[in-house]
Amino acid sequence: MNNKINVLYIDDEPTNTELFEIIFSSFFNVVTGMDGFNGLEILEKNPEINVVISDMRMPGMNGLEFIKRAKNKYPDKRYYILSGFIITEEIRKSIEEKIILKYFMKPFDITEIKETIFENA
Amino acid sequence: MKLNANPQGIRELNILIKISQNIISTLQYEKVLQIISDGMAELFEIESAAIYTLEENNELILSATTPPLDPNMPESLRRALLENHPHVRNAIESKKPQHIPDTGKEKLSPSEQNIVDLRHLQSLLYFPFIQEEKSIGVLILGTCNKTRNFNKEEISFGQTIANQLSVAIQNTLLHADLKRHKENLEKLVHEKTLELDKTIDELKKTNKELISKNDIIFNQNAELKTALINLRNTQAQLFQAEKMASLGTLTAGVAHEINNPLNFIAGAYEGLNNYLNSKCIDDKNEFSVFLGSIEKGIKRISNTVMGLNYFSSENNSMDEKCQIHFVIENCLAIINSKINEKIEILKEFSPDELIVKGNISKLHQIFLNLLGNAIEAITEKGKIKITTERKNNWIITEIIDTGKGIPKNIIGNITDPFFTTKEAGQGTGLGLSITYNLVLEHNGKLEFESEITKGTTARVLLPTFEKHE
Repeated sequence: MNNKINVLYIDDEPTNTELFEIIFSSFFNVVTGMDGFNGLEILEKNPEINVVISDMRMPGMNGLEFIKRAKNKYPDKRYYILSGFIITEEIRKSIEEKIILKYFMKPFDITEIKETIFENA
Repeated sequence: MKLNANPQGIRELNILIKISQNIISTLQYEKVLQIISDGMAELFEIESAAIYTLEENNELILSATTPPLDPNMPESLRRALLENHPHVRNAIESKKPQHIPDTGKEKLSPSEQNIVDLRHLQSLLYFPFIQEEKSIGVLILGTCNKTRNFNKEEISFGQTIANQLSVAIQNTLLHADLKRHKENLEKLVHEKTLELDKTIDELKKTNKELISKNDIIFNQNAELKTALINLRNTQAQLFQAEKMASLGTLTAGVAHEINNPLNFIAGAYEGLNNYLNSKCIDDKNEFSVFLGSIEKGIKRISNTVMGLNYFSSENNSMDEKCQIHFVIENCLAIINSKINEKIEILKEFSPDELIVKGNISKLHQIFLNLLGNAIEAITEKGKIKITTERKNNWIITEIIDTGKGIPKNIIGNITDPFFTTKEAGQGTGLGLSITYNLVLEHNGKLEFESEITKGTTARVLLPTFEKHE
C-alpha cells in the first residue's frame, strides 16, 4: 500500500464507477461499489478507507441512508454525495448536521473533487 | 209711536240706524239677538221684549230678553217646547205677526200664563223672523202692567223691521257657520299637518334605515369584491404552484437522466484528455479542438440543466443568497431558443456582485416571465436591454424592450389575475399576476412604463441582502 488517500466510490451505474476509477487512481487509491449494501461490506473489509463518495439514487437504499449507516459505524471517515440531482432539502440538512461534508453535482468537476478531498485530508 | 209725525219719524230712524250700526259692529249671534231685542223694545217704547229661536224638534230657546237675562240662567230653563206656546207657534207657522191686546182677556196656555204672570205682561206682539220662507224665531214685545192698543200700521212696520233683521240674523248664522267651518278646517289642517309631520318623521326614519342598509350593502359589495380578488389571486397562485411543482418533478427527473450520461462523457473526456496528453502526437491542435468542443458541450448542457433546476426547484426557503446576475444569465440560457436573430440582447450590468435574499427558483420565474414578455412584445426587429444597479437598499433590474408597448388604458390591469389581451386559449392571463406576487413575496416592487410602438420598461426593485441581516 502507498500513502495515497483511500477513496470508496458507490454508484449503481458501472460506467460511472469505471470512469471514476480510471480518472482518480492517479491521485487516490480508488475502490468502487455498486450500491449501499455493497458499500457497507467493502467498508467492513477495508478499514483503511478514509473517504466515502456516494451517488444519491440507488436501488435498495439511497446514498444518504447508506452514509448514515456507515457513519454510525465509522464516524471518523469523511463522507460526500455526488449526484445528478440538484441539491435537495434533505441533503442541505445533512450538510448542516455534518453528516456529509459536501455535495458534488454530476457531471463531476474533477478539480473540485480533487481539491476538496485534499483540503479535508 | 206716531208714524206720521216728523220728529217721531226721525227718532225711529235714529233707533233703526243705531240697531243697524250695532249689528254691523258685531258678528256674535247672541249679541245680535240682544241688540234686536233691546232695539225693538226701544223702537216700540215697550218695557219688555224677548226673542225665541227655533231649534230642531220644535224646541224653542230663549235667546235674548229685554231687560237682559241673568247670564247665569241655566240653559235648561231657557228651553221650551213649541206646543206649549201656541201664540208663538201661530206666528211661526203662519209666518205672520200675532197680537194679544189684553192678556187678561185672551186664552193662554199654562206656560204662556206663567210668563205673563211673572212679568205682569198686558199687551203682546209676536213678530216671526222669516228667512227663505222659513221661520227661524220669534220676537215678542210686551207691555207690563198696562194694555196698549197697537194699530195695523205699527204691526206691519214691526214685521217689516223684523224681516230686515232676520237677514242680519241669517248673516250672523252664516258667519258663525263659516267660522265653524273655518275652525273645523283649521283643526283639520292642523290634524293633517300633524299626521303629515308624523309621516314625514316615519319616512325620515325609513330613509335613514334605507341609507344605513344601503351602506351595509355597499360594504358587503366591497367585501365581496375584495373576496373575489383574493380568490382570484389565490387561484392564480395555486395554479402557478401546481404548475411549478409538476415542472419541478419533471425537471429534476430529466436533469438526473441527463446528468448521469453527461457524467460519462465528462469522465471519458477527462480520460481521453489525460491519455492524449501522455502520448506524443503530431497534430495536437486538431485534438485540442475536438476535446475543447466536448468540454464546451458538457458545460453548456450542464448549465442549461442547472438553470432549469434552479428555475423549478421545489425549495420554498425565502432566505437563499441569490446573485441577480447569475439568475438573469440562467434565464437567458433557458429562454435562448426563443431569442431569434431579430432580437438583440444588451446587458448593462453593475460591476458589483448584487445579492438578493429570497428564493432562487422564484427569482428565476420573475425574470423568465419578464424576459418572455419582452421577447413577445417584439414582433419585427428589436432590442432588449437589461440593466442592473444598486441604489440605496434596492437592487434595481430593468428589462427595456423596443416592442409594441402597452396601451395606457390597460397598463393598470396587467398584473390582475386572468387579465389577458390574447385570444382565448392563447394565454392564461396569469403570467404578470404571478410575477407581481412573487416580487411582493420578496418585499420588492414591480413597475411598468410603456409607450405604444416605442416599447416597455419593466422595473424590478428588490431589497438588498444586507438589509435583511
